[in-house]
Amino acid sequence: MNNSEERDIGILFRLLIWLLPRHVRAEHGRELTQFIRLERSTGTKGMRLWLSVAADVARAAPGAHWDVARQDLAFAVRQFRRSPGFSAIAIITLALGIGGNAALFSVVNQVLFAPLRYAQGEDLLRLDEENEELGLELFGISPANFVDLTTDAESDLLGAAVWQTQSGTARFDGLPERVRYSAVSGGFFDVFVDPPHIGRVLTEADDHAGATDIVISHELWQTRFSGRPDVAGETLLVDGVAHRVVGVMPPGFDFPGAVDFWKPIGLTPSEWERRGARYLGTTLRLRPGVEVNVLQQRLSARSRALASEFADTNEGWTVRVRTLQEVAVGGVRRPILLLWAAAALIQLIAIANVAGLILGRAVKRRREMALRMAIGARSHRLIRQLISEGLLLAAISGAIGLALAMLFLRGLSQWATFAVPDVEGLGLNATSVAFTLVLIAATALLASIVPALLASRRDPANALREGGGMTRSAVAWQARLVVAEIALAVVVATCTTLLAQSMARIIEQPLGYEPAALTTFRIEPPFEFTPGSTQDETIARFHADRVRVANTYQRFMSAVTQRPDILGAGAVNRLPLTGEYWITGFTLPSQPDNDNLDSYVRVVTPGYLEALGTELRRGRGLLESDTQGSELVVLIDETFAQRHWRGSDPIGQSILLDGPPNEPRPAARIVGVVEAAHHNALDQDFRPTFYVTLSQALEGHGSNWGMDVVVRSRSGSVDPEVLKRLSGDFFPGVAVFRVRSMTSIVDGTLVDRREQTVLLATFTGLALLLTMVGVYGVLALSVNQRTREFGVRLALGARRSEIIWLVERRGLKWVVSGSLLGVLSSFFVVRYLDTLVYQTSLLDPVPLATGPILLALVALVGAAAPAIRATHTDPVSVLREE
Amino acid sequence: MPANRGKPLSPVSHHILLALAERDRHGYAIRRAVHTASGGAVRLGPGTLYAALRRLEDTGLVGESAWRPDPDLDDERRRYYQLTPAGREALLEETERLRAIVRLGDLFLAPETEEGR
Repeated sequence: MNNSEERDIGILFRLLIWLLPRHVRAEHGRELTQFIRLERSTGTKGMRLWLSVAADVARAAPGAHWDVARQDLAFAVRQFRRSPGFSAIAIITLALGIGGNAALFSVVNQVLFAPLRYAQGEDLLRLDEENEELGLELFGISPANFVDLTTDAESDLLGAAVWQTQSGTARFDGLPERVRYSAVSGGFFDVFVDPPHIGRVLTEADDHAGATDIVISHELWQTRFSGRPDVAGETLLVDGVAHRVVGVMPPGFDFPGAVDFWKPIGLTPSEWERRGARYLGTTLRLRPGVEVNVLQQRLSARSRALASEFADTNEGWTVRVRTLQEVAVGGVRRPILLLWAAAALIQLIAIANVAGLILGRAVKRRREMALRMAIGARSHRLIRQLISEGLLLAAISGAIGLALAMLFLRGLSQWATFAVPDVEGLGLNATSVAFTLVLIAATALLASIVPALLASRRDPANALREGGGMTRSAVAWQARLVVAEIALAVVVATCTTLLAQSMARIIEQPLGYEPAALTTFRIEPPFEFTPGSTQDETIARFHADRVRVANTYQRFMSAVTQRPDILGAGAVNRLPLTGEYWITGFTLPSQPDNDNLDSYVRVVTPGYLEALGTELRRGRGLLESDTQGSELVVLIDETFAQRHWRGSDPIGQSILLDGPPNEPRPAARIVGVVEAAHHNALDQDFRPTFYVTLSQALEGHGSNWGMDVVVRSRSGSVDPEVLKRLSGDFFPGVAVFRVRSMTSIVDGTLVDRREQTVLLATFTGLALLLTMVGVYGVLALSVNQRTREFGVRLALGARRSEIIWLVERRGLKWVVSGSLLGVLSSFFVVRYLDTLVYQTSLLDPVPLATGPILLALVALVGAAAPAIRATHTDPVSVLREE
Repeated sequence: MPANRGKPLSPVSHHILLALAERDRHGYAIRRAVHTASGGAVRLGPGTLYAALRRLEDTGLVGESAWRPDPDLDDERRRYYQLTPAGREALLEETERLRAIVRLGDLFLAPETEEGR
């Protein structure tokens, strides 16, 4: 055997020996080498010998390690029994931290990374147009832009489709019921490759104007067709039109969400050429192997080209691609991650706390440790033992933490609807448990590493003489840990204050309407006109139908208002805070070339704004006389007035609305200004809006004459049955749905934010509590050590208040440095809160000061018990001990 | 530390204690003795042997021996092990325990069972 071979085998054998516990190696290392050498001389050589030794080590090592661990654990258990208070505090602290983290990890893991319900869903993308200038994010796409963009990116895609969600009134057993459906382009079922449950899906061949073949959802099939296997060929009557069922989708497939069936969108060639009307949703299927950002770059480049080529419709517009997965969790992503971050900070506080406690106890045990070192214990054994203590603490806390996590998750899925779109599946799964185990190990290591390092550094002789080096550096380290805790708690408290203040700002702000005592419901009467032979004729018939329906609405509203309990009633095409809106382009006569102006438009009946409680600021409201044939008039809101007339009087001015192509734009005269109202979301800024009556409106309705009716009553609520009966008198066969109070709508938009704020506030409370325990623990120890000093001070005539202040002062000093650190860190953290923070900032005095003030209180309370104990030092007994 | 009191010895520990009962030995000699005494049935690997020796030393059943053979035959790296009084006690106890089991076996399996000695 040559030299190099020997060295090679030597390394391999040494590797095996390394698997044995250190104390075995230390005691028998040479013998082990010798053993192997002797074995080799007996004839067993090379790989065979190595394998037999490997097998032997594999058998012996676990037991040998367990011997050590068992001793350490037994020792740790004795330690815990000796100081149950310490153990209880440490265990509760860590259990809360671990439980919170395990629960939130489960939420993150199961909600944010939940696979989509659709076949090969990971390759599904959504494409949206955006206009930053107009504040329009993730807007729909126009047919012509869709065609240009997706044709250009054809090599990156396996499919692309547009869709538009609509609703109509279907008749089941003679009764009207509202159904939701998605009108989809021919490629829709190339993008969504889920095979149909029954029959066939829609194809390119189905996609023509007037097509009535539909594919229904599994749920509709079950509820309305009794799950009959021979459903294909049956008829579904929607808005008076017979639709033929050709297939049933599998359970769970309901894209883009809660739809009952899919029908061909049937855009005509001229409709496909429209570029300015962005009303379509888009879903793409990425070709495997193509990166999303590569596609994004390609589409962005094409979009820029389109913007210069078709400046009148595309200027300022960009495109954005997101995975459907991202879209699905978009709204909850930030809040969930924020809460998880808060939980992680709390765990850090808990770890710092327990590290401080272990350290404090190590100081108390310094003589014992020094003695053990002096009689030959190696420092690595002491370190191993401290880590074992940490591990045992973390394991017990982890077990309790997992139980807490289960409770927490149960509560969360019942209560925090924001975080849990898919309530059913949420729980502790294998991944969560694995995460928790890693967390426990990390916690054990982190909590014991500082004490362990200090223990190994110390000089036994010095420590034996009491008050040696370890005590000083341990106290310094404890102080650092407490300062770190305070800093982390300040960060959590600051974030909570920002959210709470945002919430308060939202609640206190004027909404632009008076939600109390308003009952709302929606009806969607169908169009009742047939297309004419020319476009002009069709438009004329459409307008005639609009006048018909407007008059019916008007009579309906009058009938409602005549009832004794009713103060006012009106209807609007899109109620505030329902997430639905209509945007229209217009130009100002003063700047005829600037046709890039957009405004929100609400189509209303006269009396709607009065019933809603939106105040008229100047001019007049909309009247019954503002009807077809009379002058076109609009009401604008203050935001609109402010943006386009800045201080000068808009009343009597005109705006030029978008109208039929190739005709002069119709001019609308502004007759009044109303207060601005929160139409989209309470935490968004006001958007310029104008109001026009239904009979004069040029648009505002997509597929039917749907309006939300608002009724203000003296008693606060109206019997829905009365409203349904009344509605039936004027719109027979039309379903009344979404019967709600306006207050519940407003509350509904706030519930997520409220839940997030409350959860974060709970975490803050926990952080403060843990920090208080930390301050208490360290000061209690330090007071213990300074008994002699306090005794002398008292003997020399120090007042009790002076002694108390001596102790409290240390706590407050920590708060000063911790707050400084915390507030500085907050500046980095708050940028991640930008979407959640509303009309408030870290520079406001309230969020800036809340954290430090809270922690000063926490420190004062935490320091109180040790401070009082210090004043109870008996000078005589202290001096006698001397 | 009086360990193993009343508990059966593990087979490995038992073999090691038996090998050391004869005379003090170094580690590899223990292995050879166990191998021979068991008729080739038990081969102690290095991990098993030294982990067991460590445990026996920690529990006070085995100690380091001051005995050295002729320096010419010895290797300074070797450590010699000896049975401590506690180790001898434990070995006796174990032997007694096994004897009791053998007696039970004789009782229940008699008459044709022979006691091999």
